[in-house]
Amino acid sequence: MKRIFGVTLGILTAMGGFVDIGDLVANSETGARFGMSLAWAVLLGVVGIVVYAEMAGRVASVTKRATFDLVRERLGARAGLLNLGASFFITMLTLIAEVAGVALAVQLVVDVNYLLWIPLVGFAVWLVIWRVKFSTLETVFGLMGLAMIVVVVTVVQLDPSWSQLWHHASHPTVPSGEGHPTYFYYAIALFGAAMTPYEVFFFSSGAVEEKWTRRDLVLNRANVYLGFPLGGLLSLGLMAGAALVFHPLGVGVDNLSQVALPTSVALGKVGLAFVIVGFVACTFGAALETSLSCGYTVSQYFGWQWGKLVRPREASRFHLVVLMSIFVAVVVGVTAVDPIKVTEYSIVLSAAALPLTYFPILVVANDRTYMGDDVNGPVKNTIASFYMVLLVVVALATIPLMIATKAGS
Amino acid sequence: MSAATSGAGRRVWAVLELLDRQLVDRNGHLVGKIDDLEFEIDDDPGALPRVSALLSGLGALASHIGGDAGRALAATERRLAAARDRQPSRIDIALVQEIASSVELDAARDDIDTNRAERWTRDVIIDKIPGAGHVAE
Amino acid sequence: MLLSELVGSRVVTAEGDDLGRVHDLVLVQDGPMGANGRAGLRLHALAVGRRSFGAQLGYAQGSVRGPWILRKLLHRSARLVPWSSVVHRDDEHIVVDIGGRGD
Repeated sequence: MKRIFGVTLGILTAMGGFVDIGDLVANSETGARFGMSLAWAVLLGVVGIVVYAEMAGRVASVTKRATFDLVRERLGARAGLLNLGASFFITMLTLIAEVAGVALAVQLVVDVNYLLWIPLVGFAVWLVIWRVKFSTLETVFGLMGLAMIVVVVTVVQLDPSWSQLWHHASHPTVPSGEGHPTYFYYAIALFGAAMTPYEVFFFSSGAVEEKWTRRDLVLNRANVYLGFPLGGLLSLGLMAGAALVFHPLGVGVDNLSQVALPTSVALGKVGLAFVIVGFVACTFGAALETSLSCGYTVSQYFGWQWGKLVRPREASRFHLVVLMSIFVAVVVGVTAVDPIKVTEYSIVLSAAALPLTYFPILVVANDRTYMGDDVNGPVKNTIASFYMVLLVVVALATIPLMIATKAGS
Repeated sequence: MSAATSGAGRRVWAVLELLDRQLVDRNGHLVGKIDDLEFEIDDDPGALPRVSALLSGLGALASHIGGDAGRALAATERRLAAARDRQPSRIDIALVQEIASSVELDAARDDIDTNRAERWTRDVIIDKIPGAGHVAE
Repeated sequence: MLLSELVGSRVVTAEGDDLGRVHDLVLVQDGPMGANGRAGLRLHALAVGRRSFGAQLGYAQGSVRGPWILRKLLHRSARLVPWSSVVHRDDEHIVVDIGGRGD
């Protein structure tokens, strides 16, 4: 009974924690601009993160080593350092976006300029990391994120023609007025929003923090195979809501209150309240995960003691990196950089950086001296290899597309 | 994966199995990565070089990486180490207990040379923040 | 002598043939007993090869065999050159006398 509770909790936490500012922005913008014709990119990304996270979680449970530790071990110090530079930079960008995202979400409730909230948010994020137990922090914000289920209720309430929605999703076409490069640029954005690297750093480090072993592999699989796809459903709900409300009007989405609009239209004030709670929970939870990931990546590269599983004073350099990362995110945020733009860049660059960390995990997952009988089976390896190729293709296409489409404008 | 107690005759690939590996102290705490290996060559002709120490820390990492990044790291290490003129952190091979997916040392982290940056950060910064000793788990 | 001085060095024969670069070192635990009750690690051979990418992944040493696509791209057998055949070593090169072609 307790086992079932634990598994259910894990699934719900994974579902609620799936969506972050990147998903909020990417799915709404794309739904408004392209209708449902990019739903396939979300599906591709969700399957990708399931494959990636399952491997990383399995590797972390069996070897007790987290992702970035293995990145350096397998790529060597030099390639590992370049990798660290890129991964840290992108995680940092994401952190800036998430912290600003929390502030924007709070601004929807209390009509005070979001810039004033940013330092408070930063402090709150740091304080929670400093004092709150890892499992508590993960569970509370994961479960609060389930408020985002309201976006699926929104779609149902808007009473769409389901067959038409399905038809648009399953017969993707580039809408007239949009070019193919822009279409694929947004596909990459959606893909990167679903398959964020920091998610894997956090997930695998969390597996080590919580001392998962081979016996927890079932739990790992439940969280990943069920939790993440359900989270993907929330993303599609956002896309469908925007597609139904904005697309017919030819209106775009470029701020957070517009992301909330379909829910407000369908479910009124109550719906709006839920979705704002969802926004705050998702972005705050993601801010926690990305700040911790800033600490994880640097500490794991250098071999420093890391993690919340020891007292802060026993992982001093790790906590210093976390603190400084949050500080930088706050400082950049208050310069009033456009949080939506930062979000867009962070998800697209995340997509481009995926091969860097996916590749070593794939290699270790095939290392029998490490994994014993828990190496990738042939089916997993086939799917995982397909994604390896796909990630490389995406990575090579990102920068050219970004330049060609002027970042999707 | 682990060999028998004395491990006699066991083959170890230095780059694959030792370099960039996590070092762990006798209590399971993480104390850095192996950044380089030091060999001693005895005088008799035909003697094979022996591993005499593991090197860890920014200075060792810098020479391992080489190039511009390495020089930048080396310069950082020199600046940080200005007050001390000890060798870049050296762990005598006699301290190595076990070579597995991480390398276990028979010493506590406070006695290990490579951990001085961690102790400095703890004493100068982290301990000043309330709650640094709080057990979160 | 440091490992970082050996790895990456170009290996040439006494006749001038370029064998590639050092990717890895073969150590064997067969030295004199150390203070920790274990036999010391002695350097027996250099693993030499052409491409240097992915030397630490495990494909060259045989501990990783999949997935198929990566193995095809990254697998290569390292040539082992015994340390005893090293005649000269400087900053850039290691000169070996392997006495005739092949291992």
